[in-house]
Amino acid sequence: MHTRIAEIQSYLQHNDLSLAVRRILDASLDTANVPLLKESIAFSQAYRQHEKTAIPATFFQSANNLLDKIDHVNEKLTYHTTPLVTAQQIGKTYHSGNFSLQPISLQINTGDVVGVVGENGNGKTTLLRCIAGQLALDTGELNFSQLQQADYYDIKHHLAFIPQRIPKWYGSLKDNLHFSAAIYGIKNEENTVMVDFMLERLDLTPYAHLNWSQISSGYRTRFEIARILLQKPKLLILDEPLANLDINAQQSILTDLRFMAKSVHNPMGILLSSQQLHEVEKIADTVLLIKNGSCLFRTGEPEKTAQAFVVELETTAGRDTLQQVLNNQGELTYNGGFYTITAKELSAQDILSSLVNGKIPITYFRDITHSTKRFI
Amino acid sequence: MPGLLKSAEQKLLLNKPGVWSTRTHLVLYYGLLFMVLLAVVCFLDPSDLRTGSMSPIWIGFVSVISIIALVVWLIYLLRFNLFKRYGVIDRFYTLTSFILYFISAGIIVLFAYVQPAVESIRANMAYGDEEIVKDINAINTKVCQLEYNLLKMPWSYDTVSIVEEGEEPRVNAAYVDGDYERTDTIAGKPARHHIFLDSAAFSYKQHEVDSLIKLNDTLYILHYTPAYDFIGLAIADNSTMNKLLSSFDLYNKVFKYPQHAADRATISKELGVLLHKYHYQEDLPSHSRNLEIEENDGPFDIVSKKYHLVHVQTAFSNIIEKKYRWSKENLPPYIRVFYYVTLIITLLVFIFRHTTTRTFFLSLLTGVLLAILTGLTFAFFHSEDSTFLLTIVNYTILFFLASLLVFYIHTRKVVTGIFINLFVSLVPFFPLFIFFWYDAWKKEQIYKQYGGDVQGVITNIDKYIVYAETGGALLFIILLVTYINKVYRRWYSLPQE
Repeated sequence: MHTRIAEIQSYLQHNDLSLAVRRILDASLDTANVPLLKESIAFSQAYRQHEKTAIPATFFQSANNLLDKIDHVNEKLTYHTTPLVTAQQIGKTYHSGNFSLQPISLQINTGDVVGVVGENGNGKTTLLRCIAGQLALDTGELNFSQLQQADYYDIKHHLAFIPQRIPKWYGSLKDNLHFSAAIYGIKNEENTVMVDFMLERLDLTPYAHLNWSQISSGYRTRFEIARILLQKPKLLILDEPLANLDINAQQSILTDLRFMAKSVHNPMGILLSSQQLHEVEKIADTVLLIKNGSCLFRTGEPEKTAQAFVVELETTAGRDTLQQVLNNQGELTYNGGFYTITAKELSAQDILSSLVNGKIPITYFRDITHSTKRFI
Repeated sequence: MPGLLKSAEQKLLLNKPGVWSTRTHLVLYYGLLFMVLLAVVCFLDPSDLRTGSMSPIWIGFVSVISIIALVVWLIYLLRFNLFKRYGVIDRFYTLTSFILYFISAGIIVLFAYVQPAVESIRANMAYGDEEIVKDINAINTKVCQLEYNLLKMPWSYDTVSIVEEGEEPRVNAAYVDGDYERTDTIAGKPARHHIFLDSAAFSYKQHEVDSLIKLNDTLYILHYTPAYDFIGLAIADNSTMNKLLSSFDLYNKVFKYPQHAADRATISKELGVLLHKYHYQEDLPSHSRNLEIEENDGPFDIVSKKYHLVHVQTAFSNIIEKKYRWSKENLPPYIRVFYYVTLIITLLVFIFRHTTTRTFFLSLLTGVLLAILTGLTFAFFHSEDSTFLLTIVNYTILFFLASLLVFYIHTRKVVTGIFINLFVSLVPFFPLFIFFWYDAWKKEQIYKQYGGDVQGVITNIDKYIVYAETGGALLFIILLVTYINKVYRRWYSLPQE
């Protein structure tokens, strides 16, 4: 049995039904089998109907039947990682001269999720727009290895860029999705099925007939993702996709993106920028921290590996109490909201144990030893 | 939206997004529906066909609707753009979309043609071609028969001496555009004008006269029949078996030989019926005529006023204008207005759909400024037409060369976009510019060489204009498929600075 199928069955067993339904949809998409996709859409719609009432036993039966079919098809599919884009020392200076993106090198493969984090005005969007072909480079070069002798139209056809401020669209949400799929070669029945699938997958079905002004900014982001995913891009670039989403939706979208990136049928590379460091770090294979236009740190760089353990702590206890509990083994800094404890001898686990044993009231604790947060 | 259209809309959306996004199917459906409704309303229009055409008022009214329709179409059109979304396009995409824009714009422009067309159909249904000619001939004949005594009068005549070419004529005989200035003739007292003409001019003159007496090899007397054709409309018999009777024909029929005692009562009754059929006096200040017979009125004025022939003539003129509005002679201006209005709207829409909003409006501004500056420069230096037209030709070539830059640059520059847009907007007219430049240049050459009149340098000019227009359309279509599609694709997708 495929690992993913086992995983979904585990969700079902533990009543993580929403997650299970989403994963079943993803898995059915990987089969690229239209009847299976239709079945999974119907299954998801049935789940929605019963979501707020009692889930009938037939639901689980249908889920298992569907998983059996998906498993049977997916056995034939394998997933390969291939390079998508290589950026070599790309840099950009605006004519106004007030900002300069220092040369940065980066490689994104299919299935990769690369996060770009940093504070506002430090060059995240500039980097993303350079890689998306929207801004001309001043230095360095981009190589889209899967596209032979491609012009910019081809490049922009194969990659998708979702800006932070989503441009206004007109007409109904569903018509827009049909149009997006059709202009990228998804026609006829496949078009209908894929649009229904995306509506279902991104929880947009109830809003399908609405227009721009009738949906919230969070749903606009979801719509934009649905629209872009219908275009089956090889590289998906998202600028601050979490900005308009609530906390639950942020988590859900990020995990969905991760699954979609590693899709067996249509794997893609994802490059996204965000200020939600921890959320991005959870799903990204690589995280770049951009500060003042330079890449200050990227995860996995041995030379910048932490020399000490670092944790963030939010508590009502005072500095003296904390020092006492930690036996003065760590260095404490306070930014007004929470403490940052840096300790060479104590691991994060040890620090937490000491705090618990010392009966320190903890409202927030995070190990940021390997996080980009250390540099901010 | 009706079921069939909805189904077509859905099919196009799923299978032909490029066609769907132009909304041509909606324009076709609703446009044709509107035209049918408009045609029905125009058919029900109670206005009398003998009155002046109501078309200018209708066209003004329908043009407002056309503008609204155009705006509605643009609102729907601008919602979806396959090209700007980097969708799958083939090499014929730009051509297909241009043709679809042209069809949509054309349907909207055609609204203005519905009322004139319906009016023409109504006129043709109400009055037959032969009927009109027969009735005009009958009215002229019966008026002459009834007013035999008043209208029987001597012919006017001129004496003509043929002189050597270039010899100074002793009496003025102005030659304007191949026609001759008529010599004055006092009714009843033929003037003995003596005209001196060379042999070429005399041969033209012969066609005008009703009778000619040769006194010797160089001296002739030319006779003219009095104007018995009270109702005379030259184009009425262009396509009929029966022909309008000329004054000479009427003379032969009525005045040449002593008349039998005519049944005046019958003729008068028949004439009354005919005049009633066509007499219509519009209640407009501009149409009021003095029909009081005055002391110094000549016999023709008296007859005309007596039978209200001015109103009858106007009614005939109105009917004929409506009937033959779409005849071969009158059609080209209508086609040209349709073609150029549609083409200009289409070009604007096409350019807007392939460029950024900023570049589009800057292109418009550049075009206007360039036109003003060029016009001012030429006015200031009193330049000739050919120089002006040559400058326009040079602009087109310059914009073309500048548009080539797009293949050598690596960023999307507004200025390159402006060059492309200006080139695209000028190229359909390029052969026309060349032709008019050649015509103007030729005229100037002849004027410099010989001086005087330079009309008709190129014979069959209309034919060559049609060739140039067709050539412009073909050139544009070829460039759409081979060059314009590539240049826009390249320019629009380039990264910005």
